[in-house]
Amino acid sequence: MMTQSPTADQASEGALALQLLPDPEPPPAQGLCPPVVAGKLDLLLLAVEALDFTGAEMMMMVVKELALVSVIPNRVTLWQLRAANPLRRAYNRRLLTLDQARALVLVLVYLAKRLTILIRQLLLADEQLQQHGVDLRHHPRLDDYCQRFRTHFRKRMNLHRERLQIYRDDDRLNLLAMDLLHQLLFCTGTCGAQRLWASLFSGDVL
Amino acid sequence: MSALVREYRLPHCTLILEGFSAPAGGALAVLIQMECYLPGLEQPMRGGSELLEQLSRTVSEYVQLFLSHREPRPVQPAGPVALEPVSHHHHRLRVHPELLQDGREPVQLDLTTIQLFDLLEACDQGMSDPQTLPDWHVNLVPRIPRTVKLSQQAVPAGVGLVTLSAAAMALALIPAPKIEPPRELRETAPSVSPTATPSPQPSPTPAAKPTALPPLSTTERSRLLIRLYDAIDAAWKEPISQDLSFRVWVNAQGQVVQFTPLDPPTGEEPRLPLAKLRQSGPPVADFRVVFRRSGALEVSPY
Repeated sequence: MMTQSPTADQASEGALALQLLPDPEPPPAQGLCPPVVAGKLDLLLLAVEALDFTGAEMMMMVVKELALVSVIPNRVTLWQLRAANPLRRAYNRRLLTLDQARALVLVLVYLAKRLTILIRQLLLADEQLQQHGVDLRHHPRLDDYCQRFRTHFRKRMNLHRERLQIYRDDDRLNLLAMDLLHQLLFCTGTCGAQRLWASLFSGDVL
Repeated sequence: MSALVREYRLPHCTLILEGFSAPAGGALAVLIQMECYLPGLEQPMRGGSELLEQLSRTVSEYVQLFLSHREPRPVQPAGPVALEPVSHHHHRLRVHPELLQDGREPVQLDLTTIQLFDLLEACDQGMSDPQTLPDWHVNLVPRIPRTVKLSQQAVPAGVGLVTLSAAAMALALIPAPKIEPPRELRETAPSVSPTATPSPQPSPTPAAKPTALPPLSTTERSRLLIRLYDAIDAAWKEPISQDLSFRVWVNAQGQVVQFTPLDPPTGEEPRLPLAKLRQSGPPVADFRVVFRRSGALEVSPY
């Protein structure tokens, strides 16, 4: 009993964190989230990966650290949850359960908080560049982020879809990358998880 | 009951709450004054609990819309605290003077997204702090816009129905085509009788042209061609002044059975040997025969 208690405590801790995010109103059919939820979360996770080389590996570690293994037991599940994004090439037509979506929110917010300083630096740099009318390609760190985001996006999203055709253009994709960076900033706040969670169910993926 | 000050300090925004605690506990229970410092403001915004409540509510709503739709949308444009987008990442905050302690003029300033975030974060920290104004807290419940979704789906379906009915009405105006047998079939059908109609053409050639010839192998056809050539070549003695060509049918022995001129008559036809060579028998093949005025003879498959 003594050896099992820490894991049991951890699991309940994770469950507690999930409960902080309330059920949407009205409750969704069969407790499944609409596809837009998976789409938005996946794009934000893509932005985190573009910010941080280790982002993809970190995700599974964060799942363990936040004691969410009961919801996301392994890497394959994590990949399947991300492939529920309808814009993906490998779209699997799944719908996330509320707890799966909550777990992804918590992981994303954790990763974003780790990157708070970097996110603020990049956004400040972007503001300054815009004030002086300078293209963001002249800022190495920003250019790096946008370039990695473009690569990830084009590799994983289905660009044959009519809605995504505009993202064959680098500038349009850079704008999307910067928009997602602004969204990540709001995830770093004290109520980041609640705010992100409450915003997921309305609006469109893109 | 003691005076308390809570300060939430962010890089671009500082929020200071002054008040006193309830007799029972140490939490800040009653707000006397709030101060909010933002870049671009000469004087901090000072006000009471109403300013704090309106400001935090407007900012919170604005940010939620921004997060949902990835573009800013105006919130409470006519309210005491208004936030409207100036551009994609610039936001205009307006505060009515009646909420401000010492303000005769409304506050208006443009915030960048980072400044807006700091203002939101200062409020969020206060709202999440159990030691500060327990009634002032974050209340965020996700809402699924079901009605909006239904109407969004109804629009394309409605457009489809309208288009379909319009197309159906337009097509109904077009008369349905009558089904008639092809003209050739109707005309040839009665003339299948064995007595072939004689041609009114006053040509020396018989008019009843055989239309269907038996299929022949290439070698057989070449053999007939050579025989025909030899026969005409041997018989043609008299020269002509203009080229003349004919379609010539032959029998299985390569002898001329019928012929018909392909050029307008010149009066020199009797000089040619075709009429003399004519034999009887069923035609098996047809050829083009050209008599050149140079004296050359050409025979080719028709």
